[in-house]
Amino acid sequence: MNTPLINTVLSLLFIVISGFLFTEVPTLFLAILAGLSFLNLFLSKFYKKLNGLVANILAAVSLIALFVLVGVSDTVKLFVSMMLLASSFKLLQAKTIKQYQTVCLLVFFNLSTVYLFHQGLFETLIVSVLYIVNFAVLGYLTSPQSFKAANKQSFKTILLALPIAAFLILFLPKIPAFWQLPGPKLAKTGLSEQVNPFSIAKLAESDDLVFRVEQQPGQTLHAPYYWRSLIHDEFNGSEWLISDILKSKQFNPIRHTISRSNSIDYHVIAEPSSSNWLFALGFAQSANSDVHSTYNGLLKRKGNLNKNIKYAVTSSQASLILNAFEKRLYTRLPKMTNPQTTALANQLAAEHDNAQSYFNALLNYFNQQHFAYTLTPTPMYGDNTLDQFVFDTKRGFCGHYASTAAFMFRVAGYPARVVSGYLGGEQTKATTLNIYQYDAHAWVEVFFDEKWHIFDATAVVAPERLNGSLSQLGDLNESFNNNLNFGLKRWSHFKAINWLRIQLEELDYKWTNWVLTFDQASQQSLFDSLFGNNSAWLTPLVVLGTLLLSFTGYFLYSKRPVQSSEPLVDDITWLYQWAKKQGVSPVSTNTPLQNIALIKQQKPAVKPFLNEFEQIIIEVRYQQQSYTQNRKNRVRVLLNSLKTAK
Amino acid sequence: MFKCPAFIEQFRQSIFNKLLKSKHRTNEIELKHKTIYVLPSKLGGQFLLIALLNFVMGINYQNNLILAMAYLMVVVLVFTILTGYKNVRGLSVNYLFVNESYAPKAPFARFQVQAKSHCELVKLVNKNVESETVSLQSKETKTVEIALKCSDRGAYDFDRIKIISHFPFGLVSVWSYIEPISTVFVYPQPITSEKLDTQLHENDEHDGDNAQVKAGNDDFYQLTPFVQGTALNKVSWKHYAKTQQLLTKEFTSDASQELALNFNMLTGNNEHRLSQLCFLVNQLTDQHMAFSLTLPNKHIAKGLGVHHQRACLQALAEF
Repeated sequence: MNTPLINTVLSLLFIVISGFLFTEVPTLFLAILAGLSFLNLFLSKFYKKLNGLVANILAAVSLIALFVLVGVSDTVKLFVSMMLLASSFKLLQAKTIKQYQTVCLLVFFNLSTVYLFHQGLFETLIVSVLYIVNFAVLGYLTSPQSFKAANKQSFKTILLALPIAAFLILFLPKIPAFWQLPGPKLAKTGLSEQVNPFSIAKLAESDDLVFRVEQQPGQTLHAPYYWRSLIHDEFNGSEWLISDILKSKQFNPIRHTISRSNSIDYHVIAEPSSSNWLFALGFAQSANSDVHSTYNGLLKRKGNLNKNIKYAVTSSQASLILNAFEKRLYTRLPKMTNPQTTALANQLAAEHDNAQSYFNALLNYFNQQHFAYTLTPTPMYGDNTLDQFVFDTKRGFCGHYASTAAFMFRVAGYPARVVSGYLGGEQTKATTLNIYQYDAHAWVEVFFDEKWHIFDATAVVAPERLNGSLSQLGDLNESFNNNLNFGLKRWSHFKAINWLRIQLEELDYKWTNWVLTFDQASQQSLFDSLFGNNSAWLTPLVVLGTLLLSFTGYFLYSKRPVQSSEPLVDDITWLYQWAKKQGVSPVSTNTPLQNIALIKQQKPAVKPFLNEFEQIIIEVRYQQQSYTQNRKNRVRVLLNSLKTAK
Repeated sequence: MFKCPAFIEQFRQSIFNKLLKSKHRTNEIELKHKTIYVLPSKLGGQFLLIALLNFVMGINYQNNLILAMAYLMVVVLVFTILTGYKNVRGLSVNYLFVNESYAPKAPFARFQVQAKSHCELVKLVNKNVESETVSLQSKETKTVEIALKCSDRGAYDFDRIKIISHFPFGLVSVWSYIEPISTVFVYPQPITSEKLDTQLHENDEHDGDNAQVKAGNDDFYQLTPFVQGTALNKVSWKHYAKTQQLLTKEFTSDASQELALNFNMLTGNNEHRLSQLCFLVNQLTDQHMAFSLTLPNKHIAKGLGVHHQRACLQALAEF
């Protein structure tokens, strides 16, 4: 058994798997995991294994580190890290073939856990490669001939098995979850339940995809797209929060509205997320079983946070009446904060006595007082941050404007709330929009005339922001790019890179739409379209039939004659078969040279080729000269020319 | 390790015998559909367990990729079963012989394996003793030796030898049995001792006495019909006078000592006596001396040579 090789390969596997956890677990713990694997690499170079006592001490230390660093709050992450740690230790102490086989089995499980956090096309490809390598190690453990051959065999097997597995995914009935497991908390940036922009000095933005929107034929969405996710109704003096009242209301049945207008249908494909809010325009409802339509027309996920979800949405403009309690809720303010802004609001309210004109006056104010949009605002501290922003700095991003405007509406007595979500979207194809993390936005909804109206001060400060994505803004582009994480997006001003980016994006869209979001409903519609009403009995029949066929096919296909290790044997066998087809049957007891003489005699046309072939046979088989690549190629050429010779 | 109670083991054996019938009771077996058994190996079982875990995880997180992993693992397992079966199909195993061995050394059996088509990683297993693992090119023939599990003196029925392969990936066990119709003899451990020497010597002395008494005369052995050319002084004229029939007297010569090995004339417990007899049988055969062997349950007439030696040793083993 080639222990160093197996050790090295398995260690590398563990290093890559640990790499996948990079965004999920603390770096220090990751360093421990990687360190263990590197230790293993180092040890394997010297054919030694860890002393038992040292290993035990190491294990104890790592276990403590696991609990301290990863913590017990996220059970999934803890579990995944623990599995990885245990497997690394198993490898560290493995000596016999059996122990290595156990490590291989554990890797199969570890590889699956990667999919809890990452389901992208790229990650899937890497995991698949690791999967093949792991199978190769397993094969190599039982027949240690050549690792390259083991990889080849493993690749072939997986390649043949993959279509069947895909078929099973498509056709095996989807079972609902047996029990609800805690989902992993993904370390993704995004919206938060508090809107507090004032302490932020630099808005780091990521170009992670948040969701895609598929427009239905004939139902085009119109910009600006305000994708609502969260409603913040409580202002505590410095930040906007979601009050407990509102949180408890989420579970009420969807609220009664007077009327709905401008109803529009579309699909949203949301990426995995660590939080359960979803995205929709206006007052939204969804019939998807995994989506909860809340009281206020927002959508939420039901569990399964770690997977992509595709849901149909009906959005509309709702007319409704706020009751007295709600009016109080949406006009509550803490006492004695931001006196300057309060005074300003009161002054404006006195000048404009109805809601619409106050609304316009506020917009004008932001427009005329030289407010500027920036991603790098001056951080503000203390009690009266709104005052500092309105009267001193006048530079900020959406959060600043939304916080201030909602506050000023409430001062004037109009029900208002801060809404966070996403604004815009990148048009990738005619009917799809991509919304990225950097499209995150906050705005105000103010209630009058039986409707919630969107008030977005950003619209007057940076009007370009309204139409299209932030990435497409000229002025802000540079500062936007400076704030972006490293990614292809950053280089999208190069045409080739942008083309590549769009192609990859297209691929990823298909991947998400066809693979990741394939669920019970999509399966049912597939069955219906394929089998119509007969799906109940046709489906199992098709499944069994296909399985039977593919396994029989595999059985017949597999194990064709294996290439002989002796040089030229295969070539001579081929020559005999060719000769048989030509009507010359070689005698099995003859030596190859005798048979070739026989063929030459009966097929004089191929004599020159066979003479040379004979020469090579003599050199290699009888004079023990090495069978070089040159000779190999020459033999191939010679045998090929037999076919064309007349 | 966990040990099965005896009755379970017995039950298992009887079930086994019922299932296998006597398909494998032969000296030469070609592995075919009827004689190949396939099951996931222990590793394969664990592999299936991991697949099941993946499946549960995939279902609970409604994660298609994890589900795909689970299905992929199961499909690969089915593939390995098919490949494993195909791998050993057409393999023929011939029983050649068991070497002669003396307790406490276990004998080994030699088999010849021949592959119809390429065959990977086959080995013979007898309980927990394994032979070397061989891979065969198509039409290739190799011999494989395996130690048998009997080291005590005795005659044994042949163990049921397992022909097994874990190819590919070690996830499946594809196996068959061969149970050659042959008895395995483990001869007693040859023991020489002073006492034994003297006994042999006493025997010699006794013979010597006889020789003195009948000095000048060979021991009379038997009468045979007269053949033309035989010396006339050897003819038994007494018989001729009585019956008018010419018979020749035959004598055993002094040179070929007549030795009778007798179990009852030795001391010690049974095993010790058998060991001493074993030693004597071998020594006398080496010295080209004829001898007879008497055991309480068997008598082997006087004889000489390798076949006689084998008969005697087998009698000793069977005792």
